[in-house]
Amino acid sequence: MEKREKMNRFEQHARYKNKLALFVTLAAIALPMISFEERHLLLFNFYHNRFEILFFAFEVNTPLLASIFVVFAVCVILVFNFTYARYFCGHLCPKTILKNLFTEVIEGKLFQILKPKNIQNETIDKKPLQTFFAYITLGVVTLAAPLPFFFYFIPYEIFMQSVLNGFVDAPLLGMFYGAISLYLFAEILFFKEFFCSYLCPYQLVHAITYNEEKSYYAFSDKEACIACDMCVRVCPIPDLDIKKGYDPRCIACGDCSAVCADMLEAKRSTPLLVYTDAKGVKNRSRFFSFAGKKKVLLLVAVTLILGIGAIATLASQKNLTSCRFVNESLH
Amino acid sequence: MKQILILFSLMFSLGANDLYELLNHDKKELSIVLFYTKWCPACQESVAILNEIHKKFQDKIKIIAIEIQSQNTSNYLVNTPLLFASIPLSREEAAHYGLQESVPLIYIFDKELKLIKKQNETPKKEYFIKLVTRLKEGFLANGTLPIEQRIDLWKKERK
Repeated sequence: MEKREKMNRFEQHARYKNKLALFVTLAAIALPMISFEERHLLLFNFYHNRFEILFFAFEVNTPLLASIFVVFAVCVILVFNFTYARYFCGHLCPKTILKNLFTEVIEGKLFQILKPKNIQNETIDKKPLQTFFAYITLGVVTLAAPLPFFFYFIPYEIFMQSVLNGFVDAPLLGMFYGAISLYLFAEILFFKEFFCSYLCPYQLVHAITYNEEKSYYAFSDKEACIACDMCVRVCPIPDLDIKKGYDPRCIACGDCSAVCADMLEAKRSTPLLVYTDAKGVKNRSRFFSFAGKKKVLLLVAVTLILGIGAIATLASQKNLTSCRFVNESLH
Repeated sequence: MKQILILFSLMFSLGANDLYELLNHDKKELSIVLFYTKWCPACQESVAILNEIHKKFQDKIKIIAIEIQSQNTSNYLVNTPLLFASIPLSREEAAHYGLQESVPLIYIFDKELKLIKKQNETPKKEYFIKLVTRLKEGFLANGTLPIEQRIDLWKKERK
């Protein structure tokens, strides 16, 4: 009974994260599906050679459409970096959401497998059968996981038809789909946070945009620490001890802070791990976690103007080298 | 050659739009067949480029344009006037000549009506200029010498 009460803050945080994850996932799936008179809200339509945004459609040849996608992705990465910074990684990133789905829902609730996280000298009941079925469930989930990604490039009804036909009409696309699916499976089981720390473009951009006002989780008071090691235990990154100081691998998921608040509930009102910046400003706004309000808005505005300018130039009808009959109504 | 014969036998079957006769009549060094539409900006650009080519190499290049007819004629672009002959054709009819999902479609034939190039995008002016100079200097369309004039240097050096 006591324990359950103690874990309140952590549970609240988990619930908040799950709600956010559900909302983000649904929004990401719905975004390319919303259409009006066959023009989508956002679609890099490689099937009909169209760039569709905000219910406008422009005919664009394939190489330029690919460039538009790259520019768009860079803009999204920069804008999130300038606003949510690393908060994005722990809460909004689709890869983190998928990983949490595996560790918390499939392993945790469905098959009830406890994992040795960062604590050695702990006897853990190995459940080979449950683990096997958990991996199979993960396989099924990763088979479906790339679908929303592909919906951004091919209209979903056409892509679903192709999927249901077993990619007979487009074997190369099928291979690509399979490769992404297999990669996600391997990513969640083997690479884990290696990708987040060393390969993810978002993290790389984050690493080079140094700013003293950038927020991260930091350990504040050594003397008040009761050395329960719960923060290390809940941390999703293997071998990360937040108490040793700032670690670039930290994805700012906030689990350590929530668990710390629970452990110190009787002693202190604030946890030892707080979302702070190098200047010591605690609990800043999540949205403006990169720099001051004015700087963030300026950077976002500049990025958006440059991005929209680049995309408008690329999507210009002067660049067309051929037109498709399906796009006749666009001209 | 066989493929071209098949292509042109298809053309014969159409009767009314006898492209083969058009190509065969008054043969020039190069013949260009352009499939275009009025609504496509890339086609309009192609027409503009071919107009320039026509002005420059009137005696060397013959251009036949084929306009693909469309049902809705409401929102057409401002059209570039053509300086060469144009034949209206429906999309189904044009499909017999190899027109697929996109325009412009361009065929380039040499003097013996052998296909040099088929391309599905706006042509480049420089390409035609290069092609004309190559043919003038006795090279093949791809820039190499004809087979009987080639010297296999590596064979000579071996001996």
